[in-house]
Amino acid sequence: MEDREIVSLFASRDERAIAEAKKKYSRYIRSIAEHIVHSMEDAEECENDTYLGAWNSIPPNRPEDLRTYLGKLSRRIAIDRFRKKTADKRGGTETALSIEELAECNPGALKSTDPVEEAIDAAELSRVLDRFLRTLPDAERRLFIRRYWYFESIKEIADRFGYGESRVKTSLFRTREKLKAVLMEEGIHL
Amino acid sequence: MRAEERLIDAMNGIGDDLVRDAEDRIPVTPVVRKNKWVGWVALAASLFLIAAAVPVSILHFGLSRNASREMLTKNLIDEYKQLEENNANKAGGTGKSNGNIPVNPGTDKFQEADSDSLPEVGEDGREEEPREMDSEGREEESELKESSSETEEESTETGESETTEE
Repeated sequence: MEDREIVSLFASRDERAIAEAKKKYSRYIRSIAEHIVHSMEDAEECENDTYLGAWNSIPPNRPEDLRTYLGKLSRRIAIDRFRKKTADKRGGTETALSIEELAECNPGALKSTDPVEEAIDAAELSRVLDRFLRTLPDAERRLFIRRYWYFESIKEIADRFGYGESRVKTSLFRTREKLKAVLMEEGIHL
Repeated sequence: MRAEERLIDAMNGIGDDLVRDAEDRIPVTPVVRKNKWVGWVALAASLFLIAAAVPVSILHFGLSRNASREMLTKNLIDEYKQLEENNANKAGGTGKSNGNIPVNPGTDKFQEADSDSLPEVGEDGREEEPREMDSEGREEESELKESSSETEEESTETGESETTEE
């Protein structure tokens, strides 16, 4: 079934929408969740929560790209689950490692003493990130997204693109440095 | 919330096209692309050279083979001529052959040529001049008569001389 038809089923509150979405995107949704929570059972729960999230958000939303829409839902749900499970202990997993790596991008020197005044909302930060990623070369951008959106390990990324692991690490390090410079230029304080 | 976690959350807001694009397994760097191009160009050039060399070599060897064959034929003909000339010198001493080379012995032509070319031999073993024949194939009468009268005269002369001696 076409994505447009599945979205129409969601919009018309037809329960077949969930079955059709599961038939088409179950593997994709579960893969994203598994890379974050590192557990089959948790990933399965994340998947079910994703369909529920889609049921609750369509309408009013009417996504043009259903696959990515479900992927983003799954990612957000899995990150929340990961945070809940690791609230008392940090580190140890690939997801925690990815998140810690991004700490390098925080231009701490410019950190404001007034968090309310200087704080930037997530939507604005997303727009800056979107613009930044579009300025990167294709390979560099894909590596960055595979690492910090899909939470794939260095080895998985290297295997996927046929690179050496050191090359992937070097590329990611350079991209983080570039992102830090962009955030400083934009005057964004996290 | 920590800064890195906010960045992770913000990543969820990037464009759908960027997320989709990262699913491709083709992050080809310019270096790899260049190397690929070099490889393809080298392959195409080598294929072109092979394609050009094969017909040229075939042509070359074919021509040289033809040339050697022609030279061999020419040498054989020269040798044959030389041999023929030598044979003619030995046989007649004239240094020239009569040109009638028996190509196919046993045929009428061969026999005719053979009989014509052989000189007639008289009773005493000497060669005789070939007789002149008229159009019907007979010897001319006048000549025969002349020869007979000459013999008669000779006989009368010899008879007279014999009687005087007696």
